[in-house]
Amino acid sequence: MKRKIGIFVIAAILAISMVGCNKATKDSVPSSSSSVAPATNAAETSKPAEKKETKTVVLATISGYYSTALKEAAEAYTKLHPETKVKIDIIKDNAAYKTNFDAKMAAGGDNAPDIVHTNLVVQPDPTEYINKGWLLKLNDFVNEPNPYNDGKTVFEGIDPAYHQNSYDNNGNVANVPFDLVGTGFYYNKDIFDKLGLEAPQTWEDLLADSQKLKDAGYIPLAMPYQSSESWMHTAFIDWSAQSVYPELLILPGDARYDEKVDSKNTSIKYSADNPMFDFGAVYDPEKVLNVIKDKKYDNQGPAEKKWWTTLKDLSQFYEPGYATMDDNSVYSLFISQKAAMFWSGSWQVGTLLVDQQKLKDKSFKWGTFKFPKFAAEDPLFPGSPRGILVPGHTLGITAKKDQEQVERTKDFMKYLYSKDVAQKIFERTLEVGEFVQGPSLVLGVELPAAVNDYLTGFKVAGNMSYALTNISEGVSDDKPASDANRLDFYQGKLTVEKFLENKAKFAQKLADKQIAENKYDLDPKTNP
Amino acid sequence: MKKYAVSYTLISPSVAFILIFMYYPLLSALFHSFTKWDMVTTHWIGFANFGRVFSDSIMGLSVSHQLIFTLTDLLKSIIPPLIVAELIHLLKGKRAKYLLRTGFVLNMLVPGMVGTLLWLSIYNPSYGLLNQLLKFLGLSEWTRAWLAESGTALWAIVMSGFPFISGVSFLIFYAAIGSLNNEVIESSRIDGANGWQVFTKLHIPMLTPQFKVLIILTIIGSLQDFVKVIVLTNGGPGTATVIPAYTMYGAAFASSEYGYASAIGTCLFVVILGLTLLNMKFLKTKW
Repeated sequence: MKRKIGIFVIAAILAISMVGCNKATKDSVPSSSSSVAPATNAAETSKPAEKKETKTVVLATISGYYSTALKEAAEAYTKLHPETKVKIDIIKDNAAYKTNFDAKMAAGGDNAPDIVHTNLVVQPDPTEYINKGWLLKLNDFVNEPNPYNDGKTVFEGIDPAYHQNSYDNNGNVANVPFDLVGTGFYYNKDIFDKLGLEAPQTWEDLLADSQKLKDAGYIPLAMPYQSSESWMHTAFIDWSAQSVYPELLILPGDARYDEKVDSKNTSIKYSADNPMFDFGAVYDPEKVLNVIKDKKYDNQGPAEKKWWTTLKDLSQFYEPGYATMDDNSVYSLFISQKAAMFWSGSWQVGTLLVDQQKLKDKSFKWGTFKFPKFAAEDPLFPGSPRGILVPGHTLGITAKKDQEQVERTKDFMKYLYSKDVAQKIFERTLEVGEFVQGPSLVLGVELPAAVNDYLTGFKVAGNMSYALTNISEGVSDDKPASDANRLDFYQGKLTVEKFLENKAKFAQKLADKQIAENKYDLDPKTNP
Repeated sequence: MKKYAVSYTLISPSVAFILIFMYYPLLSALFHSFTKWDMVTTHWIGFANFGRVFSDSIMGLSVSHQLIFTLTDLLKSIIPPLIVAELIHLLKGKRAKYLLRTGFVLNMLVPGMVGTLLWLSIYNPSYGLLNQLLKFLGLSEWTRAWLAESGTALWAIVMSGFPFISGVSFLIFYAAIGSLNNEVIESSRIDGANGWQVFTKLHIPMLTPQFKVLIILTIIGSLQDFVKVIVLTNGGPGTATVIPAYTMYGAAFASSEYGYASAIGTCLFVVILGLTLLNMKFLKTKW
């Protein structure tokens, strides 16, 4: 009798557990009311409505990341396709997002989300995840007609200037961009007006204005030092090293050359006057690594000395405690008008608009301005600094064995990338006070005029490239030591020469690691 | 065996869960500490990860920081709670005793993270309570970016949580003091011992088991705890507050070097196991 009771109790526990698991994975469809209308032509153009097995497509996002509008789009899609439920899985933050995806893929991938923000899991380069077989190659997908977007191919519905950002190092399409994200300076117009200042256009003006703001008792610049200062580094590297890019391209005769993907490379020529000169460029990782050995880019050279010294000067105007201050505290200095300027991203525009409404009579006028030039022409920095305006929200598809699951995931992706649905997602996100990353890359989507005005500071010419970022300041497993090196330099404990020498060692270590891990022979003519 | 079948059956799910969720990860980490592991591919590399643990210059620094944290944690977990427990014990009024006892235990209801975030706000250089208080007292020159200067960051973390009355430590001491042998204490008073002598010559020796428990619990907790570091300074400024557990977390979840992280975890495990064995040995007291 006792034995029977024991078995019964265990069976009951197991049954309850299994019901719980089943419920969590299959029935968690959002229940909020739908505001994102289905695309008008979708029903007619989608696949025949034969009775199919119900499947659940999971899109993983993070809190506030278009999450409300995505949930509504998911509901609208399910109404259109009752056989496919779409679950928007909201994960706490960026770190948890990557960990969650990595762990689920390592466990076989069956429970992994079907659609992921590749910008959160594989930045800066998706090659590794494509090679591991974790992300699907979207080479064919982007050229398939999108039934929700007047039959245009997926890529035809996306701003062509940003197609290049979809490729991995081997020329495979790893993701599809949804919007732009960029960084720039926000400034408090009321404070600037009070002190008779204009939005600075040059680094020299920026430093002079910062001194005036400091003298007037303000924190001149709220800088998210731990998270976002690095965008400035990449902009400077790109500005000074663009002429090297043509030598890094995958060209005919190289082992990686693929006519379909890399043919654009053959027509790329450097021009300081053309910020779009490298549009469509796909770089060879071995050529990039050879840059150090061949001394085509000097990561301790005069350009690096100049821009790092400029940043050191600027750091004297950062908020007190910038070295360890979290991003929310940095933002609070700007919104409370303690700081007159704020270096941040276009994603903050939506939040600022909402916060200004909440501030009522304590609100203030604000604007944005671009990453500045130097006052005098300098051959080390030809042309103009290029835009820190790159695709932000990029979606990729998880490689799963269930082909039907993959097909349904692709169909939902197409739905998201239709003009009407994307427009609704942007509108609804602004309406509920969540943040849009920046301008949409889905062609035909328009943002409200007020939002566009505030995005002016982020609309810059050209696309800066990350091709040489790791050559300048790549870090393998020495991030704390690298951070300490930069801080010591800013605080005057290191000369610029010693700082750059230390930094170059970190970059070399990362290069050595990449060479070893990928078994590169540094000969682009041979396949590693 | 048959006699205990129900007991075994009922306990088996718990045992299974413990094996799966505690011992399997432990053994997995031990195995992977000898490998280069990115959660997909595993390559046996022998003791290379351990070599890296012991040769890493940051690791040496982080161990020295950990020593400071652990030693100060020990002081914080014993001295203030003991003093408060003694003082409340000495009170005459039952009502006052009850109110104060409850007051010191109630803080256990506040999640540790909330306390840490509160201290993050207190230390904020622009609007934090500490700097505002110093300015109010006319001590503006003492104001600092407490968590962002390499000279103060580590000690700012140490001082967070002031006045360090841990509810658990307080309860352990308070309960123990209440159950001390009164006959011995009364005899000593008849022999002329004053309060200080009773405290130092009787209470402290009689509280040795409680000291031992708290010492080992604090050491283990201190070695495992990196939440304060992550929330307050993220290991910075520079390397001013890095500790081994934080390095382990960064290796695993920022750099995806799970093998190296496992090796750090294994080293921490060995240290904690060693201290636990010492604890078990020393706990064999007549009390």
